[in-house]
Amino acid sequence: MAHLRVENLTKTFHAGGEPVRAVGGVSFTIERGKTLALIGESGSGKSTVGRLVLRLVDADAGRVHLGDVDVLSLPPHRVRAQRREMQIVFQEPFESLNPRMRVADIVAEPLVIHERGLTKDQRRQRVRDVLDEVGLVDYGDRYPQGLSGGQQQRIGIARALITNPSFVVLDEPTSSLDLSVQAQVLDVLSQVQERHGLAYLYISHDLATVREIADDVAVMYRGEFREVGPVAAITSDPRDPYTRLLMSGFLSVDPREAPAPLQSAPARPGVDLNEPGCVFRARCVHVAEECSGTDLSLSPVGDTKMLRQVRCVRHDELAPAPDDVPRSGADPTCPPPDRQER
Amino acid sequence: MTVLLEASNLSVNIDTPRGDLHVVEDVSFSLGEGEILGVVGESGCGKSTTVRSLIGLLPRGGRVTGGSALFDGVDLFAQRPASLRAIRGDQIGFVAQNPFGLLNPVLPIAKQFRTLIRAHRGGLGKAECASMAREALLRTGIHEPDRVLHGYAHQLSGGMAQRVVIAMATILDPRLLISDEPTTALDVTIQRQVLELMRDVVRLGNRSMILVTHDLGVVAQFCDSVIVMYSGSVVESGKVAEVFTHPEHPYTRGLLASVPGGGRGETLPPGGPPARFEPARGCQFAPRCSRAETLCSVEPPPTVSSLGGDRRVRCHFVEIEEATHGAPAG
Repeated sequence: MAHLRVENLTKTFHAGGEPVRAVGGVSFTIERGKTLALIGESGSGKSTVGRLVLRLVDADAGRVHLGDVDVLSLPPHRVRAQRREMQIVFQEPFESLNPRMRVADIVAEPLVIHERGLTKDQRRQRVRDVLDEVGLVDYGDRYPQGLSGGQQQRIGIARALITNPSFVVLDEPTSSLDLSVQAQVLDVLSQVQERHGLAYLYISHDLATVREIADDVAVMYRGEFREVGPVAAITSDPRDPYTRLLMSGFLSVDPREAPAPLQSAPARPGVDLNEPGCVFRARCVHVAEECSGTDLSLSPVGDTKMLRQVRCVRHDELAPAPDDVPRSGADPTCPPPDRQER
Repeated sequence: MTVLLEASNLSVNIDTPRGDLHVVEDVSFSLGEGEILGVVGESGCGKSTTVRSLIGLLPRGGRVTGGSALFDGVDLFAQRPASLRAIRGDQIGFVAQNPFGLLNPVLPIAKQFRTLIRAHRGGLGKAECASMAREALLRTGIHEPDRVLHGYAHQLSGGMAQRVVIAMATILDPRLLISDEPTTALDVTIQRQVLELMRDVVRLGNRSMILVTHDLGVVAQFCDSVIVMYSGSVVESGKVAEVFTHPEHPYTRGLLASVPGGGRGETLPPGGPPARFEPARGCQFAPRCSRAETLCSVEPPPTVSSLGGDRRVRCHFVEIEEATHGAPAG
């Protein structure tokens, strides 16, 4: 059984009296040692999913199981204890570190809360060990503002790891970092995942890093999954028009590979998204009559062993003809992940 | 191609409590009419400071310590504030990363257009200003300009606000558009639309654009030429088609190889240049460079210009290789 099991997670916010459906019933599982990436535009609900799973925000409905713990039905006083098992790394490293605390104290803070029985020496040793894991063993006495963005983010990772969690939410952990630093932070994340068998929920809008770090990917739009499955399958042969739109936004660094035209129609006025139907139909270039009238559900696609699902009702028509199935990487909008050996 | 902007030996210092920080040092480039120039590098390399210095928008404590920037024959650095104001907004438009930083939150959008237009074209009536604004907004793909004009900045999404800023920056038909990370805060799909919009606006009017970005894909797909900056200096420059397909400087090579999923070759080791309170000695990239030798940290690298066209590379090794290849046989 998968380590993290999420079923039908739902959350509606109320902004100025208007109900806004942030997450509309998403389900997924993550095995130990594996990474599921959630990608989508801002406002798609991807960060909310991470916060609901950790109970940083209360869900309206749904179930979350981590191991054999039913996370959403824990009484409030048990939630805190449960947080040693499930941690988060935030997007803005500096914003999430207390500027008046030394690195060692920042990293030790979760132990002060969760493992009160430790002696000072034991605690110091744990801090040393975890700083060593992220390559910052000599930085304990420094303050966050003296560190680079990448170092600050590794402090954030060390703090998330110190209670030995089994599941970590990574909420855009590299999007504010330079490329070289981004690669280094992703490396650190992969190494600790392998060493401790961590399950990651990696939230990002950046398809390129998703290819580097994730095993599976779920594409989110307006609070629901459009397409879920193995990263390689989805990036080489996206079936949902929204996934295709996201991928067509990718710009190659080779000036000879001109990008494919953006697969987006200008928003159609007069489409009422409160009516049943596909929530992407106002922007979709493949829109047809069958897209309105009934709400769509995810349906399996391709080889059943792949556990790949897609929401678009026309996904069969959009599938490439058998002859021109792009080999992984043959599509210029989707270069192969050829940096694996690093 | 007629040269519109010629920056020579531009240097900028920022006054800090710890002394004068050397942020930009001896940067030269030229921009032709109708050309789009990308300025690329990692955070802290001085790319934003370089372009902001051209229009007098340096942060507090920042000052130009040397060099010139001839815009259509006029040295921007020799202008008094009033005459620079007359150029800025009228002949040079500016788009920044955060559109909400350029829009006034308490004034209706229409009023902000009017203030801008009247500052440069005095005597225009309210109705004339509004119709100019409406046209500019339509050009940026805003279908209901009146709704935007009567509203406030906070009612706009990030993508819409950036379109409004682009409409403002181009409404007076400037010859040069300076954009500093214009799409960094936007989603990829909106990013494509905004960049295509800016490119079309520039191309249609035979205008020029300087595009500052850390995104190499943006440079590859939207710029004609590029300058690659490291630690306040230009390490490589030339046509994008040449620099990105055959990078010569080890930093440019590392940067291109570090792009996730797209890179080939040796990636860039993490790290960055330290803050400098003294002029540079030797090559600033040497501590991260896999080829570096003693020479690199002692002698400032020469600018190699023998690669053809307007290609320039600042590296000892490129000079040595060029000298060997160029030497007559025997």
